[in-house]
Amino acid sequence: MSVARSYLDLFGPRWSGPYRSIDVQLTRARLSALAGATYLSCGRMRVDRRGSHYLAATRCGFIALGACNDGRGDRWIIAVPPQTGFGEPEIGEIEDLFSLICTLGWRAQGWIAVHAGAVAKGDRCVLLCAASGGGKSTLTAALVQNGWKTLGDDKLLLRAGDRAAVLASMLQTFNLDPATRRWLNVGDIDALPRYSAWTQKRRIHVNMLAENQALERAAPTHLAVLRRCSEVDGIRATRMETREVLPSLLRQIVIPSDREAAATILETAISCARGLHGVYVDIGDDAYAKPGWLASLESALA
Amino acid sequence: MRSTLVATVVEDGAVLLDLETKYFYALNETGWAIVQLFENAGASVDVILECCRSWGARPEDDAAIHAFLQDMHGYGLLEDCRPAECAPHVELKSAWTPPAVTRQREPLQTIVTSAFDPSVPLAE
Repeated sequence: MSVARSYLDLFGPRWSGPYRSIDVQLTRARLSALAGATYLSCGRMRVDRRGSHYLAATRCGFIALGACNDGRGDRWIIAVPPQTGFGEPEIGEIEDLFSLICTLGWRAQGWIAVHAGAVAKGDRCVLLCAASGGGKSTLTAALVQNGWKTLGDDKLLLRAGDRAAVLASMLQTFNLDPATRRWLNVGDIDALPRYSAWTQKRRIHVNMLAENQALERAAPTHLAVLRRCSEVDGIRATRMETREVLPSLLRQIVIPSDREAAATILETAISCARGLHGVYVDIGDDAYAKPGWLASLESALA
Repeated sequence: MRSTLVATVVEDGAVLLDLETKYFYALNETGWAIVQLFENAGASVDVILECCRSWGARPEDDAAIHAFLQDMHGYGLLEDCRPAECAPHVELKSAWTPPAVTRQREPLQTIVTSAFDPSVPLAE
């Protein structure tokens, strides 16, 4: 239960609705079930779907059974085998199950989950896209310390609005490597615990970077794909062809193998990508120590 | 059309996503109109050509239509089946232009980390 609570406590920003009821029961029980991944296959989890019912199975033997009903909300049971300890893999797999439960619930409300950061200044709001470890958190933190507001560095919700797409913040914590102290004012980051055994990164709240820079919702205007590029001195931003914007956005979204789910996600992504200006942001070694990096980037986002 | 494909209509045609290979394809309006003829059931080449004529295609456009069907086949988007008894009624909403299908250079991720993260982490 404490693992689940720790995971859900990460979702900090106030949600202004609409709300959805999601009931999750955790139980110690050994269930035997074979999930064939008709819906989704992830690193540690396979998910099947039959109508509004879902079956998820993880490597450690956790089983989740869920029923998602539009009108009445979602009900889930997560069965954890007796005598299961909660070390690194087990914690990760509980988090995977809750990620699944949450993304299904959000999608039922019209929101799709996007693995991206977002920053905003004036009438600009930029989606920052890259794989894990690609530099989203560092760039987001650097911009926050230079007057930009942020909706988060890693997990966002996106929906197609009546006139424009809308981004919603989910997390207001960053996972930053202590090495970023070379460029950022990150306080006593080394004193914080590592957020996972396989990384040096620490979890810090956005207020540790700058006060009052957290944003809850914004309309995206730009999409930036971050690329590490040793040959670049500082930061170089170049315009992206319009036809590359949609695939760049889709690369930050998990698309299940299920036709109905994929169609919903595709429609939302296409609608949202329509109005976005795309930019490639190439980040050189020690980029944030180079004078002029911020001006160079901001002028490309004008 | 293969059952692993998901189609979404856009302003100037449609986007097809192959859920198996994670490639996606852009169809222009004419291409999408042709695909709708066999989206859910088979259609013979003769029926396709006849519909294209009704949309404004001329005999010299036949080569472009055949090339489009070959591209669709080459990308693995079609599967053999018996033609339907009658073709669905499909309108081409804009003026006739040769059909085109373009495949995105790189597919989307085929290995995902979790329900939230579509990528494999880069080495730190």
